[in-house]
Amino acid sequence: MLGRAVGVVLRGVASSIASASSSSSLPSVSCAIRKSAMPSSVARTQVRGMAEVFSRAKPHCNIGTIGHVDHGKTSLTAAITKVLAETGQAKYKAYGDIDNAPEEKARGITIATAHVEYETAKRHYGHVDCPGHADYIKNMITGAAQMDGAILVVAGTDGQMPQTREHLLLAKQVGVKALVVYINKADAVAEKDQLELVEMEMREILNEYKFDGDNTPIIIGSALCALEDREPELGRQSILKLLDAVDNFIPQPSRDLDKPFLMSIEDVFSIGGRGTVATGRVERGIVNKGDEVEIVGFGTTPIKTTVTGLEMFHKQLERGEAGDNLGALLRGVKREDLRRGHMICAPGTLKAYSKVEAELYILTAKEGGRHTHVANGYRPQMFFRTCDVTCVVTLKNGDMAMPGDNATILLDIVSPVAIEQGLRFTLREGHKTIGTGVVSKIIS
Amino acid sequence: MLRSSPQLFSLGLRRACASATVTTRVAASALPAFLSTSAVGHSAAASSTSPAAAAATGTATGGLKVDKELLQRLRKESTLPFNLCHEALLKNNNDYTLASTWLEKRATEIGRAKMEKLKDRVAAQGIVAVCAHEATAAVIELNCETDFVARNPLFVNTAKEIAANALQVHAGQIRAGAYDPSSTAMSKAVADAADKARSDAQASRAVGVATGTAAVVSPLPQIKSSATSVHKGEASTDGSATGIPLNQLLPSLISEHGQTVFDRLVHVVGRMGEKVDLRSASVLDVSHVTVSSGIPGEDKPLTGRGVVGVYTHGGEDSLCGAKASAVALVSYPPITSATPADTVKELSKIAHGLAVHVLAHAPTAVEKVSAERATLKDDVTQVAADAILLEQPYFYDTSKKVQQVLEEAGKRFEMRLIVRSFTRMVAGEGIEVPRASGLS
Repeated sequence: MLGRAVGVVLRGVASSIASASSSSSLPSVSCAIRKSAMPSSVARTQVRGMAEVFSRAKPHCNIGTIGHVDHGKTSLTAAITKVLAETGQAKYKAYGDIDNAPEEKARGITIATAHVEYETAKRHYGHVDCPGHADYIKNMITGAAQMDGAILVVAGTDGQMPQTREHLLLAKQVGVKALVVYINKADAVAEKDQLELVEMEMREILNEYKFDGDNTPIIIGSALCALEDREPELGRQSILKLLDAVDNFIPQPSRDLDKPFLMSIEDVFSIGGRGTVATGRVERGIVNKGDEVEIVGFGTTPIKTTVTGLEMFHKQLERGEAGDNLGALLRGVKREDLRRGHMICAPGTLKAYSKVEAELYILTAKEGGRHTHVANGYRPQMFFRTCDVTCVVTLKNGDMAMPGDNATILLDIVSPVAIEQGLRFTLREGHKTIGTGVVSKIIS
Repeated sequence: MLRSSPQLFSLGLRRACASATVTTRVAASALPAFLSTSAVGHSAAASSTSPAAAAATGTATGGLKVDKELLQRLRKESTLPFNLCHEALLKNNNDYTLASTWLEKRATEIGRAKMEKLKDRVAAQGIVAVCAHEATAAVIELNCETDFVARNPLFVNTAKEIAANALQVHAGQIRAGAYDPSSTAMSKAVADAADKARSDAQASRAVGVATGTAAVVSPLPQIKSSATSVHKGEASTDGSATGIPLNQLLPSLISEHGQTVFDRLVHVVGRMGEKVDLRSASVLDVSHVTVSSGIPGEDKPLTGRGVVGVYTHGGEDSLCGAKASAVALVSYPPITSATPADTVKELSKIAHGLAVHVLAHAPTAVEKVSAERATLKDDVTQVAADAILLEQPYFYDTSKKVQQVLEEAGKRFEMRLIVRSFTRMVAGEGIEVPRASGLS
C-alpha cells in the first residue's frame, strides 16, 4: 500500500545522496558538515585508497593546540603521536610531517590547518593546529574542526607571552569550554621554582579570562625529551599525564544520536489513501513510529502531528536515527502545508525566529566569493539544512565588510524559520557563495 | 597584569631599592656577591640564555639558588622571559637592584639578538595604523608573524605611536625644507611636532651617516634592507603621497617612552618573541596647496589648505586596522582662515566618505588623465576603467559616480572639489608565506 511512497522515498534518498556527493557549496549543508566533521586524515586515507576503516567504538572529540610560535606546539603534537604509537593508538608523525600547515578547503573556504588523529583508551581525537587566529575562526564558522577543547602550550623557559591573552580570547570566541595547559621545555629550566611560577601565572591569567584556573590541569614536561627518548619523567610520562588530563578534563560533546530528533524536509509527497510523506535526512536524534513531532518553519506557529510510518530503502522502519535518509508519513497534515525547508523535530525543541546575530566569514574572490565589499542592507539568500530564505544583512561594526573578513552581523530573515544558536549557514547570491557563518545569538 | 612600559619598569626598580628586605638580603650575601660577579663576568662573554650556561654558572657559584619571590617580582616588573630574569638574579647573586639594572642594560641587547635570530622568518601578518591631523595624514604598516600578536595591545599601540611619529618626521621635513611656517595654517600641534621632528630628523641624519661605516655596530641597515620604503618622491605638501624614509622614522623619538621607534621595536620583539617589521610609511599632506580654478581663460591660482580623510578597516578603533586608506581632498577656493568652520567640517566628512570608498573599491588612479600619465611614466600596462576613482560608483550611493558626488557637493558649497591623491594600505599584502613555516 505504501508502494508509491517507497518509490517517492527512494527518489528523495537519491536526490539527497546526489546533493551530498556534489560540491559542498550546495545547500545540502548538513551533509557537508558531517563529512568534514570526520578527522580529515581519515578522509585522506580513504582518498588514497587504503582500506582503513574508521571505527566508531570510542567517542570522538576535537581538540586544538594554541600557543606562541616558538613554544613547541608542533613538537608536542609530534610527541603525542610518538607516545601513542607505542601502543598502536596513533601513527607517529615526526615534526617535519606536521610542520607544513596545509591549506585545506572546507565548504569552499581555504583554511591553513594541520590535522592529526589519535586515540587514547577513552576517546578518539581529532587534533588541529592552525597558524593564526583567523584560521581558527574559519574552522569555527565552517564547523570543519569544531574545537571541543584545547591544549594551551607555554614554554617554561619564557612563561606566558603578552599574546597569551589573545590566545585565551580566541579560545573563548570559538567556544572552547575547557582547556589543559602544557608547560613545555621544562628540561631547559634550571630551577623547579621557576616552573612553579610559570604555573602560578598561568592559573592567574586563566582565571582572569574566566576559565577555571584553579582546577585546570597544568602538566609540566618537555616534548623534546619525549621525542628524543630521554628523561622519561619530563618526556614520555608528561605526555601520558597530559593525555590523561585531556581525557578527563575536556567534556565529551554530546553525540548527534543523543540530541533531540530533527529532520530537515527535502521534499514532500502526497500518497493517495495514506496521507503526506516528508523525506529527508535525520540530522540528529531518534524517531520512532508513533512519536509525536512538531513541524517548524516559515511562520511562527508549529504544526503538531504524529509520525504514523517510517520507510527507508523500500522497507518499513520502526525507528529512524541520525544519518538515515527516510520518509515519514505524517498524520493529518496536508501536502500544501509543508515544503522543503520545514523541520520535523521533537516537540518544543525548535522555534522559528526572524532576527539573529551571527559570525560571518566573507569568501575572497579566490575562494569563489565576491570581489567587492558587503555593505549594510545587502540581501542575499540564506541557506541552511534544506532551507533557503532571503535575508537582510546589517553589520554590527562599520559600514562594510571586505572579502576575507570575519564580521559580526545581524540577519533579518524575511519570514521566521526554524533556527538555533550554533546553526551553520551559507549566504549566496545568484550562483555564488559569498559567505559562510554560524548563528551566535537569537534575538527575536 | 603584564606591565610593559619602561616608566613602570623604572618605578618598580625604585620600589625595589626602598624595600628593606632586599637590602638586608644583599648585605648578608655581600661576600659571595663579589665572588659570583667575577665568575659571571667570565661566562658573560659567552653570554647566552641557554639553561646549560645558567646551570653551569649556578654550580660555579656553589649551587646558588635563585630567590623565588625575587624571580617572580623581576618577571612581573620587567615582563621579560623567565629564563632571562633567572639569569639576571643568578649573575647578581639574588640582588634585586643589581639584577634589574643588569636586565635593563641587556634588554636592548637581548632584543636585538632576538631580532637578528628571527630575521629570516616571514612576518606576513600585521596592522596598519593612521595618524591624521586636519590636512595631513600618515599611514604606516607594522608586520608580525601571527595575527594573535597583531591584536595585542602592546603591538597595536606601538603601531599607532609610529604613525604619530611618521607625521612628525614629515612635518620636520617641511620645516627643514623650503617651507615657510609663518605663512601657513598649520596648526600649533603640527608646528610643535615639527620642532621636535626637526631635531629628530637631524639626529637621524647623524645616525644615517654613522651606520654607513662598518665600524659602528648598529642593526639599522638590516632593518632597512628588509623594509621597502614607499618613497614616491620628495617631501611635498601639494598632496601626493610621500613615503617617509624608514631611516628617518626609525631613529625618531617616541616621546611617551623616551625611546626611538627602533628601540621600541626592539622592546616589542623582546616581549612578543616574533619578528616585527616596519614595512612602510607614507604621508598625505595638503596643508599648503595651490589650486587653480580649472576654468580656461580665468585661471587665478589660490593657496590655502585642503582636508584629509582617513578610514581604517578591521581594527578595534579608528586609528588602526588590517587595512587603511587616506584621501587628500582640495577645493577651489581652498580652505583659508576665512572659510566657515561648518564648511571645513562638511569637507572633512566628504573626505572620510571617499576614504571609505577607496578602501572598498581599491582604485588605482584618481582620473583618466592621470591614469594615462601613469601608463607612460610608471610603465603600467593599463589602468582598468573600473579602477579609476572618479568613474567608480560611490560607496554610499551606488547610483552615482564619485565624480557626480563631488560635483553635487561642490555646488552646495560653491566650490570645485578635487581629489588630489589617495593611498590604500593592506597589512601583509603581497608577502608570500612559505607553507613550510606555517607552524612551529
